[in-house]
Amino acid sequence: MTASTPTVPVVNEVLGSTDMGPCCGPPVPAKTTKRTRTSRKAMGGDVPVIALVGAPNVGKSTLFNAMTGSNVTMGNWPGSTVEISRGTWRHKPKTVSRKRHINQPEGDSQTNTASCEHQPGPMATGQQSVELASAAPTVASSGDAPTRALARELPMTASDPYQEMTIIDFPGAYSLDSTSPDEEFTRRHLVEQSPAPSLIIAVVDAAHLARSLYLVSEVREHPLRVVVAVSMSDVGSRHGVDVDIDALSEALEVPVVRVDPRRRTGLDDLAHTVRDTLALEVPSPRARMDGIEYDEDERFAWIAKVVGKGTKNDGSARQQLSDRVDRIVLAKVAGPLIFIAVMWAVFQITTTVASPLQDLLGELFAGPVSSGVAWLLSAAGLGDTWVEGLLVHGLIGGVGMLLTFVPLMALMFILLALLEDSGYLARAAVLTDRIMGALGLPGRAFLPLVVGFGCNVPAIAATRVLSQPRHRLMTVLLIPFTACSARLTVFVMLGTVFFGRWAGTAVFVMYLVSILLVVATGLVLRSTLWRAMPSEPLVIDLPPYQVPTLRLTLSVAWVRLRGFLKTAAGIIVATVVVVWILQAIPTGAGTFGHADTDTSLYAWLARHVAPIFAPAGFGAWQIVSALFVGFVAKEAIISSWGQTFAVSGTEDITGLGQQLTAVFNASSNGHALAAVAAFMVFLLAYTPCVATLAAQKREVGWRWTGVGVLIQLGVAIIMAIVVFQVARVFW
Amino acid sequence: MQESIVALDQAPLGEALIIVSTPQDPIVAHKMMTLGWSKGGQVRVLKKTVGGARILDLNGSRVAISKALARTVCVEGIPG
Repeated sequence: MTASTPTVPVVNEVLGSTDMGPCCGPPVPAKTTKRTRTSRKAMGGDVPVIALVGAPNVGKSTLFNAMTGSNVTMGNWPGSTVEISRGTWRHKPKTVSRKRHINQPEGDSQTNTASCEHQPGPMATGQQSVELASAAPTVASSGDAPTRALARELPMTASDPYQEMTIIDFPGAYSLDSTSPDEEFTRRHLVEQSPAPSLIIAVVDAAHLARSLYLVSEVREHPLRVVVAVSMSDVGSRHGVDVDIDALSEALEVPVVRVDPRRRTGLDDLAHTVRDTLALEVPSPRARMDGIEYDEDERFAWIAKVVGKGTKNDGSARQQLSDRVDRIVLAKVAGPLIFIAVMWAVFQITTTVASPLQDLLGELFAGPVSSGVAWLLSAAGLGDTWVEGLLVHGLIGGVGMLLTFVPLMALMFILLALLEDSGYLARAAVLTDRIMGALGLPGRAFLPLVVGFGCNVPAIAATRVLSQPRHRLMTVLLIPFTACSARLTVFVMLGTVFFGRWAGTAVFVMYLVSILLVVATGLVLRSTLWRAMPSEPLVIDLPPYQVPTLRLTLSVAWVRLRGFLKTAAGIIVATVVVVWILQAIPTGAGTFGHADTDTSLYAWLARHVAPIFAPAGFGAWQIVSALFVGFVAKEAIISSWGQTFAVSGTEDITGLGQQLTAVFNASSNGHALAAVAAFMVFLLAYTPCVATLAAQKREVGWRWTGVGVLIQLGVAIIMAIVVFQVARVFW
Repeated sequence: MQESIVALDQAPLGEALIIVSTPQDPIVAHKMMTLGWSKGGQVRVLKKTVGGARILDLNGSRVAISKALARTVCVEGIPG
């Protein structure tokens, strides 16, 4: 029984890049989505725009989901909403029966005729326990008018203009004081730009009411319609704090509704109240007599008064469960051990559990799907033509590769959501803050970097736990230097072939080099590009622990996965197709789609690029061409060598090893080991893969992705040359 | 009780304390203010972590701040 019905369009927009102009203003045309525009047209009226605001971690995004029936990035993490989301809140009201709290004058004859009973009443099928204010607007005389609880039963009118509303989920903000990008964004769009939103729903946390109310106090100082939604009442009760909704409403002088977004309760009441309030004129702001803006102390004094009136604290200062858990989780010895265990679990799950699923998908596309398409093309007379090559090895290969990332990404996002929703991620940030502080990064940046050792792609997506864009950007630029598992396969193969019983040590050294590169690059970036970036002292809210909900976890994971697929699909598939086309174009004998690798345009390009790598000891086209393939996916390097040397790379490792040894020896004038070491370092440092680039583009845009590629290539070539020139003295 | 004013990193664990000062950096001060750190308010230091961070009880909420930041703000013991 809910007043909100699932409605599709939700647009996630990157903070700061959103054109908010037309979406604000009292019942004004809203620039939203095609679906929204169509619906508004069908309604024949304008769509009110509702701004959903609140401090971080008060359940705002969860409420947004509950209202729109859609999903949005959210989590039990301060500042997790780093984008704004827009959706449609739609109702199917038929009869009215509810209790509501509206800011109306005593003398309003229309509202005074209402009964003051809450009457849930039996509902016929398809009916909602709704709603709403009379179609005729009721005018509030001032913002200081007393607030009363009202209840009445009204028929829903066909002319009701508020059947559909646009909801905008703003970034979490404690205040409107513009000290962070999120707050500045919220301030600009709530109180500085014109027109203002039709109404503001301020979500406050019952368990931490005083903190949540600072934003409300500031919003109340502006001429805006405000409805306060009190969330986390259950947590508040456990803390011994019970919110008296009527008393709080009276103290705040705005309508107040209790909601539980996680259980999707209270939405009817919220719908009623919002619609009622929309029918009123914009109230007068709370203001000082002398017209000067309130200062912080005055706001806190007001908040203290409001909290005193609106809550009942039974004084039970019993030890909270979260405190007991924190005693262990943040303990000096157990804390770091638990953190390492959690990180190890994340690393293991994202690399090992996903692996069979990845293999399965890979085999499915390389086997039955490719065979099926090839059979169909043969039946259509296109067998063994370039069309088959393009479709099977290009498109299907690309889509197959993209889909192999799905299990990995899904697991990563689920784990991330679990860590966020449980409240552990905030504790992990505290534990690692000192280490990461050396790089100018907050502690929470540790997680994406750890995940990067499994796979860079979900690691880059995991930077969303960072609320500050510059921290996110720097972490995104550092992640490619973490040695992902795909690179590990090549390291193991090269180590086995060239270093024999020292193979394990060689691979271990690559991990050390990887960590060194992350630290060194971070320090260099901090002293160059971000020289002015001051280190931010740790100040973080620790949300209470809670059991993650399956629906929330899966919905968060799905939204993130969907976003990745949307962004990365085109880039990955296109790159795979381009590489296939390069391999399909002959530079000598042969026809398109039937060129030998060593006579293809791909080999021709590699031959022209190879001399660049001569100072690093591996300036042979057979080696350099593998770097092209490695740009698509590092796993493909071994198979591409197998193709180049006409051996099965995975099955005939000895044969491949002999060929590689010969090539490395020739290109390095007999210093094969030094050249291999240089090649491994280059492999570690240069662009991980096209999927990583796609993920980077999604998080930081093309410009910074390009800067990242240049940094990686620069570091890779310099490191490779240095390693070869030094190592050849010994090898 | 002037003599009882100490930097937060020197404050005893578990005792209710009065907040005497706010951080000098206005951005940090604002962030702490929004979390409930205001002059005259009460705070308790619940725990010191391995990195030196302090876990505070601020108006019933749990807030972690770094040791470096804890050095820059002062608190005063409640008489009696």
